[in-house]
Amino acid sequence: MGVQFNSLDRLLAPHLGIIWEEFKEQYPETEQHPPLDPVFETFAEKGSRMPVPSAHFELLATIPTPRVFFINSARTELIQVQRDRFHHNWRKVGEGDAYPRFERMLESFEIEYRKLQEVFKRERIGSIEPNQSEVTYINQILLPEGQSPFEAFERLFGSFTKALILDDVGPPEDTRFLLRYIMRDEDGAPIGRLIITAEPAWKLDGSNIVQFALAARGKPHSADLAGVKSFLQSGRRHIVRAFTELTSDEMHKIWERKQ
Amino acid sequence: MSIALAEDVWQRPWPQPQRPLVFADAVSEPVAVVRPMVSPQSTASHPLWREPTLRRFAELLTLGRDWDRRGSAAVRSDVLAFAYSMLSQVMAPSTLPPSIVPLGHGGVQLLWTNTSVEIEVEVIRPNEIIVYELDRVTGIESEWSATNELSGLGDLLRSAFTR
Repeated sequence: MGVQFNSLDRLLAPHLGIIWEEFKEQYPETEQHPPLDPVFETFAEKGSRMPVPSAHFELLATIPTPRVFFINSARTELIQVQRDRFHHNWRKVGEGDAYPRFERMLESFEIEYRKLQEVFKRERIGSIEPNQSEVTYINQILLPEGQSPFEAFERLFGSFTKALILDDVGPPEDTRFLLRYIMRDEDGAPIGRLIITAEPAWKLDGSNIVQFALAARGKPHSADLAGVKSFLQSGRRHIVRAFTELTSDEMHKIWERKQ
Repeated sequence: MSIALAEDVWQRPWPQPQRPLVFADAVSEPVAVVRPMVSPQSTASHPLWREPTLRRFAELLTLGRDWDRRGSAAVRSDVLAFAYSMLSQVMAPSTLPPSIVPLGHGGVQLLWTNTSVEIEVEVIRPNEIIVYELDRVTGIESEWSATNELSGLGDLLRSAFTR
């Protein structure tokens, strides 16, 4: 889960070290990555409704302030900080790693957000003015030996895949999908998008998987921590419902979901 | 100083969808996503407004601080990213590109004008815009603010500035 905020141009690479000092005890490992581009969900419902072609807005002559990862010792949890973003993520590293549940993640996110806000204030970097927030679930589903990606899709997503089998050439060799839904508030106004992808992939150990990802992203309900939390909670509710409705009974059993 | 933007990113065949899950990049264990090779599209084309708009954005990014010698802020890249997202929603493929001028607070103003109507959009920050409309025939002016829902602006632009 994460938040994107108005860019803090006074945040320079040395500040990232000062920020790490605040998180070092819990997150002793670091990594450095190129910054992510800003992303915005905007709406004009009578408009083209086409996906937004990508563009990148950065001077090549300037040195971008990097995005840093602060990672815990088990390497299962990390936070990401860059000029206009803060994220808290969990990832499965070993077979025994259990997802710590959304509520606990949200609690950690809140504590770390406040801590970051204090550092920004103390170092006179600026304040966090959230403009987007996002919650994402990424599921990597291992394909049994010999199973094609399409057979896996049939197993995971149920009956709608039957319509994709053609009389003359049979089932597709593989398949993938990207779905976008508009999230709305109580008055029906658009507030964000639920974006769902499923596609074949392979892991570094050579095993084949289907990567099924669900993300809810949009403008926070208000431009503060309470608004971000509220969006993350509603985004998570949409994701859980989408997961339940889109996936097959077998998939539910895999995750031991109650119907 | 190089004034080029990352043009390779712009030259991909259109439509190139926005990467759907940007925030989650590089977080999960690395995997290779297998995407099959397909022939380049021959029927799709860029929206007419896209290239001149991106070229102007590139110029604005080179201005830096104090570009007017009055202490103005540099144009913010997140403002341009938001403006681009907004245009992608409100513009039809054949809508005329706006004139774009920098503002002192790091935002930009987008202008469309013809003999019957003038539209100005001030992008102050992400999710913070002001739209000004002047009907040149009746002289009636109107102004409203908006965040991320831009249907009204889209209606105006498509009716008055689309070929």
